[in-house]
Amino acid sequence: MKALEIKNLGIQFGGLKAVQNVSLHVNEYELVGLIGPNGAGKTTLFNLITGIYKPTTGSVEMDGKNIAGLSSFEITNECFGARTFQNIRLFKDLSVLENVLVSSHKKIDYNLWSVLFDTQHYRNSEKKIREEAMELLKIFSLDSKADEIAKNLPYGDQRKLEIVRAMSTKPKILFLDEPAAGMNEHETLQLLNLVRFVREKYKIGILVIEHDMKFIMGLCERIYVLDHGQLIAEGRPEEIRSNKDVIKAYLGEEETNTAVRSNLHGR
Amino acid sequence: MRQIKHLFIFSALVLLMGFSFSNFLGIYHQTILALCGINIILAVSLNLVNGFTGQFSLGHAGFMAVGAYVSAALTTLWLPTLTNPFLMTEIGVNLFFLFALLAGGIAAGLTGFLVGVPSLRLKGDYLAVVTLGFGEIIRIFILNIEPIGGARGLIGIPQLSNLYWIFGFVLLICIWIHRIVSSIPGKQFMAVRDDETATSAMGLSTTRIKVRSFVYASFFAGIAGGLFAHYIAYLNPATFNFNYSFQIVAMVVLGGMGSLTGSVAAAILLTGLLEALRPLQDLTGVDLRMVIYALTLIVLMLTRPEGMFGRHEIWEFFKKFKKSPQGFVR
Amino acid sequence: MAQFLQHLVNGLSLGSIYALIAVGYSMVYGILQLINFAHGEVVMLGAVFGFWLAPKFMYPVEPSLGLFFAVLGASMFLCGLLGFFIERLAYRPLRKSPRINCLITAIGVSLFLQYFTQLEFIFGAIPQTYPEMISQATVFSFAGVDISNLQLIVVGLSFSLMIILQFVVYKTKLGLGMRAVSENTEVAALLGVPVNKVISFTFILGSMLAAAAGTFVATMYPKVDAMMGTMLGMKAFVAAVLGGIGNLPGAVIGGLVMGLAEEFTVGYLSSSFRDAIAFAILILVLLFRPAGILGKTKIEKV
Repeated sequence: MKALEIKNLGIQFGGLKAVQNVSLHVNEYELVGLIGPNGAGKTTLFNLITGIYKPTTGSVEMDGKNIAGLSSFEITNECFGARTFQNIRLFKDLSVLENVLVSSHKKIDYNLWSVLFDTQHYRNSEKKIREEAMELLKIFSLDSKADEIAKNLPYGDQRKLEIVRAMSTKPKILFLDEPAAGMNEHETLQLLNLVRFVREKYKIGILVIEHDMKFIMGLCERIYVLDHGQLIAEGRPEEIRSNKDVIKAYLGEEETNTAVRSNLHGR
Repeated sequence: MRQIKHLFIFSALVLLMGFSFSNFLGIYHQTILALCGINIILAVSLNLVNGFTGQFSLGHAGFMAVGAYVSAALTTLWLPTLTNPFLMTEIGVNLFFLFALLAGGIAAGLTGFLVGVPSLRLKGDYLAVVTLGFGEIIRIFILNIEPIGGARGLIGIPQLSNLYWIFGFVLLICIWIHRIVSSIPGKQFMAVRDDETATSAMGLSTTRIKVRSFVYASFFAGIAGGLFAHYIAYLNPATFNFNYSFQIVAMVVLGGMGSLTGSVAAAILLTGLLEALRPLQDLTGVDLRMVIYALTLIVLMLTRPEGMFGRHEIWEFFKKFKKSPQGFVR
Repeated sequence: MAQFLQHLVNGLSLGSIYALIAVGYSMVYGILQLINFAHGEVVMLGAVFGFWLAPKFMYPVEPSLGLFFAVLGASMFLCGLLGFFIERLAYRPLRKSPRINCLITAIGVSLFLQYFTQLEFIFGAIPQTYPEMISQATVFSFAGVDISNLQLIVVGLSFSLMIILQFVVYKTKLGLGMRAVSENTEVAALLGVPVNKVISFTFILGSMLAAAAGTFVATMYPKVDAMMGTMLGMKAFVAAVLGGIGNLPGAVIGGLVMGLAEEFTVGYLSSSFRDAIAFAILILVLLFRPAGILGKTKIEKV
């Protein structure tokens, strides 16, 4: 079974077709990249997959379930897809641990009464959830910062915490929206290892949007290229690197024209 | 057992507070204290919505009114028609009062649910205006129900409430709300406040969380209404107007949105301030109180918008700032 | 039928006053995204200024159109000044604060003005009769429908003022600045639009219209009351939301609809729902079409 299967997906804002006729898939335990120039519709595609926007055409299947008619939170719960955001959206005034606790809500097995009357069951259960959250933080070596307020973390750790938080919903497919944005080379390398580690450890499918070609070429097994809301190429990194349409989309019309012209003149 | 120990401490505290308040103070000061207690409940419960969940409600007095009228209708209109001899006894009457209070709270909570489900989709000032509208509609609705007095008000409410009841509930509700916001489901309220999109991306229904917070707050406001009705022994729909809602908001803002002890302190301070300024009125013949109230709020917003305590509880200040001091500046 | 038409006429004249106030809400919201709760209080003060000034201009007050215009002009001038100071002292320092802080301040300003006016040595809490500057007469009667000279003057002046406003917003440089700021404040500032000046100007303009509305209300129902602004303001705000907040023609349509809705509710249902109808409309609009009649729905960016 495929972790994600998108067929003919499209959305229109007013007259603008932000995404049109996109079909792609991610297998289980596969690392797939989605690249494209600015404004190509990458984040819009993520917002469609995670239910923030409703598509005008086409369908999305995740974990074998069609997401049509599901709200964003239901997609996370029932289709096991979790995401991060381009412009980091942590619960900025909560602590690192609390960020993870909030997303561990499926483990809550007590009701309002047990909270109000502070029952033993509530205490045990809450203790267990906290311990598990700490373990998860330990895996990503954030446990020493568990009590820090999220917004006070260094940038790289904030990105990392977003991934940890997404992982605590126990997803089968993870969507990363420009995880390397704003990172230096060293941090990007660490992130590369982190994403690989997540895939190996949890055996899940991962779809990464990234602007940074180098990052994605080094990370992904398969790459889709989006331009003006449409897929223009698909293939292994080396295939993408030499694909004419991709170069054209990335370098822009003007330079291609010059290149084409010089080619012509060369002949 | 822990619970039994807690119950014991709780009862001792309530008895101590109730006893000392009702025996060492005159009637006038008792009334002020009672109003303080009721305002504490209102402010702390509204903080759940406005502070912890980050939704701006301007209709809290409406839910208080529902609780006040429902409980008062039960004790004023229904209780006298009952003939069960148990209800003639001291214990019986008080148990019936407890029942009436809870019924008022539940009615208010239900109203909160009906108001919250459609309106909590809105954000910021739109939500503020819609809750204000609902608050006014509740009031106008009550104004038009004749059996409970309509515009004339409801008179002859038995004076069942006293400082024991009021401070018992103040203590209980403060503890309960503190427990709620310390629990993991309580952290979800704050998650909604910080980022709704991220909250739903984590698989949580933000609507459900917001409505939950709204219903809890309305329930507690309803209890406060019941306590108020049976202390003053008279209800008038005009009491629960927009200005009362706004006074509660002022308490929450002054104390610090997201600080329970802040709300308690601000409720005492503002209720006390209004009373403390009363001699000024007798002296000058001019009621400057609301003017000062409004000015306080404007100056507060201009100089210290995070309120007295920010998002901290009072005990956190004694723990030598474990969190970084920037933590409470937005 | 005659009764229906009479309600229609009354509703339209009431509605044109709501429209005048609604336009003020809409302009401020369009530019600052702030619900200026104090706007209703400016309306009230517009009436209060007239109440003070009319006897000063002419004592005893003799009905004359000239006096009416003098009082109207003076009241508009004073309220324009008031609007300028409200923005300058209360809202400008909060320009960069969270919107909810501005909202709280706005409510604070509203309460302050209301209770300040209620002070005994200012105006007092007791409603007063507004001096009669135009003696009411029926100028037009057809098939049982009466139209008074007051209604004609109010509707006529309201629409003239709104047409002037339309001219200011679309044909003058400051109007261009207003439109630019409401489109995007930062970009407007970068392009050299004097943002602070434009915002001050918007408040002055809105407050002047509010003063006119206050004068009209007080002339039609000859009563001045320190509490009168709250409800007028709320209803006009509903009108602005109904028409699509930030949208001037929308505010006018919203105001007329509100006036008609209120008049018909009072006429055919019960006068005790006079105020409830406004809130009911507000709730319905916000729940089903929050962008209003003429507004555009925005897509939230993630």
